[in-house]
Amino acid sequence: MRKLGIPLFAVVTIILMSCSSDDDMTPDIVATCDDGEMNGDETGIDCGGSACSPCETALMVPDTYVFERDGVTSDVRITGQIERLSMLEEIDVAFTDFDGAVYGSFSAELLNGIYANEGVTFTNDFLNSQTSAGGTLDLNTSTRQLRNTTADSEDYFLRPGNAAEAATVRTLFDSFITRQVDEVFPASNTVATQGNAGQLPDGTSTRFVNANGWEYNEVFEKGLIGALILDQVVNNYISPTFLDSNDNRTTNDAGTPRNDGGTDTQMEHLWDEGFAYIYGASCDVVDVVRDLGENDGSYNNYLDLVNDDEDFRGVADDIYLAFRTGRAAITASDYEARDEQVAILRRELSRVMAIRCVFYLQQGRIKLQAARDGAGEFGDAFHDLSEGLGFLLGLRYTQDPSTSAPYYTPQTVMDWFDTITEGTPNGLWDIDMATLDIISDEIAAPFGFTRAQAETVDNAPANSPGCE
Amino acid sequence: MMKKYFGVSVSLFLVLLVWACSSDTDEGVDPPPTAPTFNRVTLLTNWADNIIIPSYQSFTDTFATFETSFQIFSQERTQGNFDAVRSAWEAAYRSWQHVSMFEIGPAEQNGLRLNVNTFPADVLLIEDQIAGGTYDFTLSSTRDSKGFAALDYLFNGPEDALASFTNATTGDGRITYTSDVILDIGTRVNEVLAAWESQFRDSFIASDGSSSTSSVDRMTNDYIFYFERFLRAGKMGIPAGVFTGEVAPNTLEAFYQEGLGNALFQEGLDAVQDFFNGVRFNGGANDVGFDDYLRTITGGDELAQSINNQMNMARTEVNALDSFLSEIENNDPPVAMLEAYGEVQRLVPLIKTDMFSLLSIDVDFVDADGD
Repeated sequence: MRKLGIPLFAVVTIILMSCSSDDDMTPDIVATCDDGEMNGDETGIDCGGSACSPCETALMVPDTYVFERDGVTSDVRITGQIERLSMLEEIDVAFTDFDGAVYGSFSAELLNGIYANEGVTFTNDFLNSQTSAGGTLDLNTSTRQLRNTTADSEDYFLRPGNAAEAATVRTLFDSFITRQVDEVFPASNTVATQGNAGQLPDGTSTRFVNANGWEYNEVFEKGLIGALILDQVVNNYISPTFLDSNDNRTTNDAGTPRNDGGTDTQMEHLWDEGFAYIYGASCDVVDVVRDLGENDGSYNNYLDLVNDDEDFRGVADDIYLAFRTGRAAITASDYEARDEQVAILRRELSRVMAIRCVFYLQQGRIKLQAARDGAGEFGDAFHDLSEGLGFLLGLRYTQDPSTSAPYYTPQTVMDWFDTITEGTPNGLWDIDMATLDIISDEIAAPFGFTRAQAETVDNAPANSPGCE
Repeated sequence: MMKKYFGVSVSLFLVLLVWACSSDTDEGVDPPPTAPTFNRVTLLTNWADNIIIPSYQSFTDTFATFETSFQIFSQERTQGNFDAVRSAWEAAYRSWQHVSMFEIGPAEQNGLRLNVNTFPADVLLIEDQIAGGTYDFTLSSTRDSKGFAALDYLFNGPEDALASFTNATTGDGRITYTSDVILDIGTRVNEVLAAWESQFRDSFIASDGSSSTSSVDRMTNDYIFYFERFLRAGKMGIPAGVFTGEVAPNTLEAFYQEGLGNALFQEGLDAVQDFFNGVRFNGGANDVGFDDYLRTITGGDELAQSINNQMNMARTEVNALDSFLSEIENNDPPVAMLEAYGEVQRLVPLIKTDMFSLLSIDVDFVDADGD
């Protein structure tokens, strides 16, 4: 498995080259790119320059996320991301800890406190010992928080005029907390019915839903996979605008370490932080594919589940390769190669969100039909739909590299969300199947997959649980 | 948050692989072996009339005896009456193992298995509810505070369980709670049996086709689902740490009565094997079962033999174990139990891959994503 990196990379290179020669239909420009000589403005033999494919073969891409600069191993420092991923696990548990079994009490103060890291005691039960890069974390001494990192990316929210939307998004997530405490908590020991909050069985689990049948905890948690994790990666840490800010190119070209005693440049460090949101809490942060999804229940887990579907298999390897190639390109000061990997990452990381969203909307539709036919549980259907709604909110944070805009406008995403949650008298209880299908198709369209492909995980490979 | 795979994926993959291969060879070659001549009605009739309904009847009889013994005890809380309660409870718990796999139709609608036998019990919740005196057993969030596992705790958990019932201030509350747990089980199973005896038996047998929603296909899926998740994983695999690498003795069935977990496993395995062979519950005559169905198909006789041999092998291995609790607590890792588990595990591909393939039945469940 460890040797996969190089051959895959070769394949990617070949595909890129063949694509570009198809695109360039002007024969006299193309001709110099396959004559076996370095000519024109090529920077290598038949590569580089204005007409030919980039000379990617010059990049040495390691098999794992370990890099060297001038013979010195480059630091990969990602504690901040692992802390936030841990906080995400904490708030997921706290959201339904109605009897205070884990946190000692249940209140809006507690949930808001975990979200904003203010005045709460974390359990530190998550992602600790098993995370090789994390060592021992103590969230209670951490200054990081989830709330101010929600909708907080360079490309979408930090530029002049974008602050209003960020505030709206945070208010929306705050409202899930308030409504959980005000609507669901008081009803948590009653059975939910159409128009009434309460609990519903789902197999061995119990789900807690609002009057319209959806779970605030699921929408909150999956929503943050988009509004925080995806947003921080594709619109922030791997954003060329952010990577190139200040004098980052100068210091990176010179190999100047960040001024805190490490061996990584500022630009390398930013890239690592993006990598960390997807892979930082892996069982083995160096070789992240082996136990994909086993130690981190957020984006990492859903990447694994999408990758399990043979319709989409390989996406996890592609993303890992793009992170490694981009990091190697930064070390080599090859910014053109870096930005090609940025485009791959933006598209693929966005696509995974869309696939998983459609999966849940479709599973929800199938299970809802079964429940209405008396052959299934509403709790099972609503749980899948709630996960789908969370991923749906996250679609606003996708980025299409060809337009530098999200694949779906913020307004479209909120319209879909409102249609499903409020569009019928009692939300999910009454939603019609056609609506779920139409929205699924519209989500799938920009990526060219079908809802049938996303609907089931086909031929999932055997998977040994836990960290090996 | 971490996923718990129960090995379903591999087998599912193999099933689909086998299916894909055979469909490739459809054209111009011998058609795949099928059983157009096997009469599914005789199979369904034997299942319903000679196995499922009699098993439920036997359970409700055994349970009624237990219920009566508890009523006697609640009036007169002596050691003798308490011993009688505990042995009647154990008999009912063993009897439950013969109906647990039939989670179809009325039992499925009732959510019977989860309501009657979710373990481990949530001891804190039980004690909270007893102390508070209010609880609603219709809520799914209370499933681990009732059922057989709660009774196990109430009868065997406290150091002096009898004293907890005779305590002048808290004893009556405990008696009431225990009666309510017993009532919940009894009501549910009686409803399920009544449904079988009234209309479900006929509709079960009438659904004799070979679609994915027909009775044979669904029952076969429920059968392997029970085997894999509840018999294999629930009673042995999870406590022995097969899926996590960490033993979890507290997740044993009948945790508070050492050794009973082994017996409950054996009861469950017997029930599974008898169902496979179509053995009538009353009298033990061998009637129509999966084995007979398999024998109408090329290669099926050998497979039926292999499955029976492997079940016998698994039984022998598990029989040789000390109590599950001592196997787990005295051996790290619990090698003997893990080896015995391995023999149980070998049945999964034989049934879920080979038998499903020969009978042309698709597996209709997949791993949940664990959240």
